Amino acid sequence: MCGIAGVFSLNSNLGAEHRCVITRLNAWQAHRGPDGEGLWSSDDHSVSFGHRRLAIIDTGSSGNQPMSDVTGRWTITFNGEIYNYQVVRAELNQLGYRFATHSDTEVLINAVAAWGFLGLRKLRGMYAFALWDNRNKELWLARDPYGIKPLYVAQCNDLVWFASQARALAECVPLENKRDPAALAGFYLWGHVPEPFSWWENIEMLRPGSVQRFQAGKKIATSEVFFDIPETYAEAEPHNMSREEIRDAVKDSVQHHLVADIPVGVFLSAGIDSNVVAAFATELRPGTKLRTITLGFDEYAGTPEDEVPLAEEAARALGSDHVTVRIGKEEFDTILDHFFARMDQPSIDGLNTYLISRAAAAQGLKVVLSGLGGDELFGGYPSFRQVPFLISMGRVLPSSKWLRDRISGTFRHLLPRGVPPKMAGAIHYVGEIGAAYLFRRSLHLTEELATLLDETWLRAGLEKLQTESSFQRIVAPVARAGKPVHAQVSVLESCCYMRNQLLRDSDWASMAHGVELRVPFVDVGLLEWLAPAVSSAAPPSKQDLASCAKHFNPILAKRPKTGFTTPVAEWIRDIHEPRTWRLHGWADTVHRRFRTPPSQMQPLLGALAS
Amino acid sequence: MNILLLLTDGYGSLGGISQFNRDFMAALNASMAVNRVQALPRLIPNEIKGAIPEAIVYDRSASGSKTRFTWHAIEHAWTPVAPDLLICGHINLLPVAYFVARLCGARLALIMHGIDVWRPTSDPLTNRLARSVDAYLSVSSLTADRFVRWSQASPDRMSILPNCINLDRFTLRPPDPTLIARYNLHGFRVIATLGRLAPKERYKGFDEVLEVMPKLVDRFPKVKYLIIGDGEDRSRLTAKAASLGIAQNVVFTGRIPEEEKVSHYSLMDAYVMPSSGEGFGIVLLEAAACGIAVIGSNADGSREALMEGQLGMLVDPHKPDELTAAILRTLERSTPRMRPSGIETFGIDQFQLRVDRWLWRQEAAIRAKREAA
Repeated sequence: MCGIAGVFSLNSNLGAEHRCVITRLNAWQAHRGPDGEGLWSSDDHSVSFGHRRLAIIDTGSSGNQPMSDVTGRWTITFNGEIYNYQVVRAELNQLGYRFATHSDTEVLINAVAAWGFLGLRKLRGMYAFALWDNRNKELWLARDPYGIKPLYVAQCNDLVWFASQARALAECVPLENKRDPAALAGFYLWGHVPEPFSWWENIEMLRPGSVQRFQAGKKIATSEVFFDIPETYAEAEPHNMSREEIRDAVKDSVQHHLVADIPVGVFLSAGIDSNVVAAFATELRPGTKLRTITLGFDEYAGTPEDEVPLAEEAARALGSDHVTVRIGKEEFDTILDHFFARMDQPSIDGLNTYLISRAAAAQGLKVVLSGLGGDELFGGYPSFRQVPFLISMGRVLPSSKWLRDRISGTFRHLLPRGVPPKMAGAIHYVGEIGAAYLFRRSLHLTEELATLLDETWLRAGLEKLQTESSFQRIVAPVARAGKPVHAQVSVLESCCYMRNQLLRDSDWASMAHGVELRVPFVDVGLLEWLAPAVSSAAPPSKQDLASCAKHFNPILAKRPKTGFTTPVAEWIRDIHEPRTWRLHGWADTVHRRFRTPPSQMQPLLGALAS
Repeated sequence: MNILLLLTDGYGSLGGISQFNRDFMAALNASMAVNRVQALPRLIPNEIKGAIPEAIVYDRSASGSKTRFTWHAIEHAWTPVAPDLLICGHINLLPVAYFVARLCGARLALIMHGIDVWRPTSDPLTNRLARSVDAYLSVSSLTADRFVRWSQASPDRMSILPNCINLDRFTLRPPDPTLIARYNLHGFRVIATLGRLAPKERYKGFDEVLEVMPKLVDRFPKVKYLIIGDGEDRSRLTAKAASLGIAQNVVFTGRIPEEEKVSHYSLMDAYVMPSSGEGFGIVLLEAAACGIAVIGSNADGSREALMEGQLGMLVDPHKPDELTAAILRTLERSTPRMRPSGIETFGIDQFQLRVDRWLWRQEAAIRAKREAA
């Protein structure tokens, strides 16, 4: 996993100043790839690529990037891993393609050379890349189907800029950098900036599972979708799966995710997902001692939220080489500035991944597997119960808006302490899946935003976000295909919460320490295998998942779900308004850090300190 | 820190106080000490153009009647996340601000713009409350001193926050030929004063300049005095110019659009404002930033704006000879335009730094109070 960047000129040649910006982008993203740096410009000076390398596969210099194929037609700058590259390479060999390296990067180039953009359907992995076709003078930008790896694009004055981090573009490229109202509204609605928007109005995220092609002289890029998650659910023929089938599917994915030329570790919590991954990793690598890491918090010690005792017990049972890292408020205070310096865009999450990746890096680990994505496939979130409930409530509750306003207004004043403020507005979010999901995943409800954002931001932001209707649009193919609500919630969780929050934060928070985070439950191979089951009337549950791994400790399956949380609300109590509801205060703190660009903030803070 | 800011006006308004309020809100937005500002404007006379800083929620529904404004202010005291700091943007709003601050336990601060606080107000309640504010922000030391004198407020609670100017906007520019033609200034030396022509604001010194004009015309027959602004006093000043026999040397431009302000400064040989009631005198700095020679008053806040004479000449507004001499000296010298050194003191960066320091002090006081409780 690496950091990529580049620029393509649609009209004229690039100058030294443009290449200078790529050097700056490389320097900005250096933490993403501490093992090497590469710069490349095309002979016709129309395109320039930068690359920072984290060496995982073919770790020698032959794997360096930007990389050209043996024909010299293609040059790539690529961030990610192709887990099934050996299988695809064998297939390409049979077709007569030659390889100069042992890297997955060259397999990716030749897959495109052989099969065009549809060749990407053959790949299992996480990736974002820019590929230059010197014959057709065309720039390809592409991203994996789930959107595990980010790729941000900014088109300005006939120049197309791209990078792995939006903030790198905002801070290194001469762009206008206006705030996107959709980002502001989205951040307060959900705690993250939803794709395709970014914190900066002229920087956008490339659509996952798609290829965008830019050609000299043409301002409009052509876009082709090669993989669509909702369509995969929609097209799946419902089928109940046996535990053996689930076991084979998950085991296969974990096996693929273990591909590396360096040691691979596992982030181990007390939850089912990470323990299943660790159990399969142990089973698949007999004779090799698996390395596991658990993160614990001083504040949780001795409480049911403390994951450490169970995780340590599980590690003992697995016989892994285990490390527990505990962190408290004192240490949190020391890392806060670095944490915000690495945060790509405002997010209320990511701290947990940041902390455990930091611990992994301290242990010398560069590749770590995580249980992220298990809840989306195996119905682990409360949303799988709550969304159908809210939909059904639409038939029972009065439909009059006036009456609903009165009811929610009354509830607002009667809410007991400890109940989220948004519960008062629940009555407005019943009947439809889009509304119900919006309620379930919102940090603040739409009506609460008026006290948080000025109406100019809010109006423009909500207009761009199209909150409920955008959710409806995402599930439309699945609903049209008559798939149950469970499958629709799985699609929403995968394409919204997981993509915009979990995967986005996992990327910058792990790369902040030069650690590659792999997610075996977020895999197109596994999805194609399991989609028929998830779309069936009896979708597989977390208990089914728990029972399919040989070395899984059954005591873990009995633990109530808690999620991978941090005591951040307690940690910031003294630097923030103590009366705010849990993460609401944290959201304000995050926004405060992102209101002032760091370059302007530092001298100011320096002056204040003096 | 969450802030409730009660304002007379800000966005969608013209004038010195609204400009200060906009600069202040921009500084609050850029401060790491601030979470969010709920800003309640008492008036929004014009359409609001452009984006409001993202930490500011500009509650347009609060503007209008006094009752409406008061009710909205009280509502903000009742929100689940009540303000930690209530900043009252004008002494006239102090009774409402005081009541709301007590209601929600917020620290109370008052902004003092100038002449409005030099003497007790007409409202006895406001005058009584004036000393009970936790922190004061004054645009000049002179204003703070005069306020302390009648209010008995503690001088320890005073902080000085001078107005600021955008040094990127107010820059040296060649005179605009369109404006020269519009006011028929070709071949003329130009002196000017900018301000509202209101009977209540006669302290700006339009009269004083008009009265010395005959002497100036004697020495420089081709001199024109540009009176930039409009108001009820215009007809009186027009008549006065006629009675002094200098009507042909005086140009009333009327109110000019904000975007033409810099072009108007660029027409001048000297900006003259022998005022006696300016809290600070931001226009002096705007002119100076445009490279124009400035003559201000030593009898009010202008003295601080001009850094005791470093940024421009200071005269006693009540001594016409002194004023005449200063103007003549400036017109005779005819030195090339240049921005005076030291004007950066009033740039946005310094303003931000002052606001930040003040806010950190407020936060420390709020925290100390909470801990003590």
